[in-house]
Amino acid sequence: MSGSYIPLLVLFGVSIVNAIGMGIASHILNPRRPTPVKEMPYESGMIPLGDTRQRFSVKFYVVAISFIVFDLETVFLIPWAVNLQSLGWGVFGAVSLFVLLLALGLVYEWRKGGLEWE
Amino acid sequence: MDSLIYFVLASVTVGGALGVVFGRSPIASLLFMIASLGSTAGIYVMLEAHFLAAIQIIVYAGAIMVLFLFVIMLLNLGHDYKRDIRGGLAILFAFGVTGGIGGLLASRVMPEGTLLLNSYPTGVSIDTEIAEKGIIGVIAEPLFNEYIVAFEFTGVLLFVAIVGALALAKRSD
Amino acid sequence: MSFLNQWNYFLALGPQAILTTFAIGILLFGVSRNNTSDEHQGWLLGRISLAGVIAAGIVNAGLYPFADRLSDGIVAVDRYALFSNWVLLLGSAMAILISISYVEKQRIQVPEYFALLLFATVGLMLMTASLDLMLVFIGLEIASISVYALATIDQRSPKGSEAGLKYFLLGAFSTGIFLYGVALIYGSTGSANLTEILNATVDADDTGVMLITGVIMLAVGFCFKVGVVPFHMWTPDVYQGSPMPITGYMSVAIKAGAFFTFYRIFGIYLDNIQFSWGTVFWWLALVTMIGANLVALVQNNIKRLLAYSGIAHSGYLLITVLANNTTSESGLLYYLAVYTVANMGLFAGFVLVANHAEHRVEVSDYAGLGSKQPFIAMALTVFLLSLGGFPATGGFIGKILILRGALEDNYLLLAIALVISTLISYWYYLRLAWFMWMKEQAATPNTEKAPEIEIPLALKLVLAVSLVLIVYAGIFPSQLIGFIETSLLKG
Repeated sequence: MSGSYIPLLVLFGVSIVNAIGMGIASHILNPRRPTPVKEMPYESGMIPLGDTRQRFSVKFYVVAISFIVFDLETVFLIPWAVNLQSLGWGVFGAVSLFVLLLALGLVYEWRKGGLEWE
Repeated sequence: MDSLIYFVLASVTVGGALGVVFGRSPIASLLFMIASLGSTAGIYVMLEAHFLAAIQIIVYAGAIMVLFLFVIMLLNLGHDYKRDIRGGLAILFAFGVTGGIGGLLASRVMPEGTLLLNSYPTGVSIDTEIAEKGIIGVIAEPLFNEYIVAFEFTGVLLFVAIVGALALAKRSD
Repeated sequence: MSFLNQWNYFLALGPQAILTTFAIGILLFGVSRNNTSDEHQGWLLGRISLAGVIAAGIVNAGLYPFADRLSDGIVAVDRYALFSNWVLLLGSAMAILISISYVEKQRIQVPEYFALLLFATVGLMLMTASLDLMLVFIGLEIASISVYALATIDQRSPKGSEAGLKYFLLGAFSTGIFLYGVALIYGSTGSANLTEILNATVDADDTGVMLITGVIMLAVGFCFKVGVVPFHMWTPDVYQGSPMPITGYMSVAIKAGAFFTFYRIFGIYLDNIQFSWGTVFWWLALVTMIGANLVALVQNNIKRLLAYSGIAHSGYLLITVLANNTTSESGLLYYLAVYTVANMGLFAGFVLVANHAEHRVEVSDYAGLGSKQPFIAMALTVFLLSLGGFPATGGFIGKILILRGALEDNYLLLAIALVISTLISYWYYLRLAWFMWMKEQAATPNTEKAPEIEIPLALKLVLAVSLVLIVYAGIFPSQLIGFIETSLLKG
């Protein structure tokens, strides 16, 4: 590893310092004149009823799974696309089969209603 | 300098992993896990595996953690839960078994045994391969030649994941 | 190094490819028609998937001329892999036949059910044929994910949901351990390819911490899947909650696939470093045999009973991995073949008695079955005897082979433990048989009168075929043994 990552590190450092610094600065510099209304969780909003933690619908899960599946498909396609020329037609066939497989998966999901929110 | 960065990244990785286990709420555990995965990506960068680092961030820290978050909220974890682990005897049993296996293993490790096998194949240095094929080419070459079957069946695996998720989440009507 | 001609791969993985095609076809067929409430979907799709299994079997038979000539990549096409394909295909065919009436009656999502069953078989067949730990992992995952979904596919059953969730969490955990083991082995030997691991360990007289830890984690991952004490905790709950045909399939196919792979990896390719994992396996086998059989004595639910019986069988089979000589390898193959048939036959009977549902699963519910349904009771008794290893059934020959293999490698104590635990197991196998033949059904008011059992053709077929196979394998074992001896890895 060479010094070529130094700018990257500087970038990370600046963004971290910036993020923390803004938080601290606004905490220190802001004027504080608290009133009971301002202390409420949602100032000039509705008073919250019940627990905020409610069960999520399983629909989110389906969306997330589909996202991951097709995300991974892309991940597998990138190395192939970058080295397309050196890999040749045999691999092209294999990748086509892979894409076909997942396309059929998409067709199945579509017809099954996995893409609908109902 | 390098080893300093490495130790920072490594301690964040391990510390994040510990945070996952000891985190008070599942969401906190999740955030610790993102820290852990992110610094693993940093270690990948130090190993010149830039593609892996990018994948690590996009897939793990991005997509999979979102899935975890959804699952946590789906199960509504995180408050007034009861420990599902049965009392003393079961814990004693678990520690006994783990200790027993660990002891057996330790007795098999030769005192002069090294961490690695003696006949560890050093092979071609990864640097020359990277120079030859490029950072992604080093992954693509074996993936699409030697491991082409594994690649295809990964497609089947992803298909099964879709089917499984839909079979469970979609009510048949 | 690798197959130069990509087509060789298609040839080599023909059975898997055919099953995958059928599974996808079934799924697309299922969503292509709008009337999902079709009454006879189970009947139709069951036949289609059965046709898929038969087609895969034909391809598998056609691969025999190519056996051992295609085995230089990460996929093995040796006679061992082809034999394990037979066992897995047989198991899934029987599971499909048992399921047809069940899915119709329980209103389970039929296309997904059969497709996942086929996918699970694909994964297991891939796993047994792979010569690379990465491919083993992918096969294992395909099979596991399919079975997680199958375990909880009946959405109205809370027990099923519990079983699915438990199985999923513990299974994912064990897969993680397995994968960690693969990574450590890769790190210490420089390859995930089994042949290269074998070469790297050829003169390993000192194994490093990393390699041993990796090997043991690999073993723990497998032990979770086959349910070896102390990694068996999930088995009874999952078996109890899953739909009954799936329980049968889990107890048979997952176990067979995992053990075929287990033996290939540990018995052959990690044989050089047996001094590192041998002792651990020795203890695991001992504890599993004794512990599982003792706990099985007090079980009253037949699915839990069969779960513990399955754990005990894992213990017997671990001996063959440990002793890995030719005798115990034939013992492994013979035992798994016979166990598959007997256990699936048993579950066919259970499904009938439960009337394609999930009630009447207590041992006492079997009282008086002998007088009302002599055919079912007779078949079940034979299967139970075979599981116990009674003479004149297939299980007896399998146990003898395992015993002989253990003695050839001087595992005297394990052999004695095998005999003792077999004797213990007679108690609970025969207890069920005794309930069937000797007890009259108790006329308590809360148990409604058992409905008349009518046997569908598919189940009749399963029962009859398994009965014939078990008795045949028990009385004329030489033919099957002869065939197995040509399929050994240690030729």
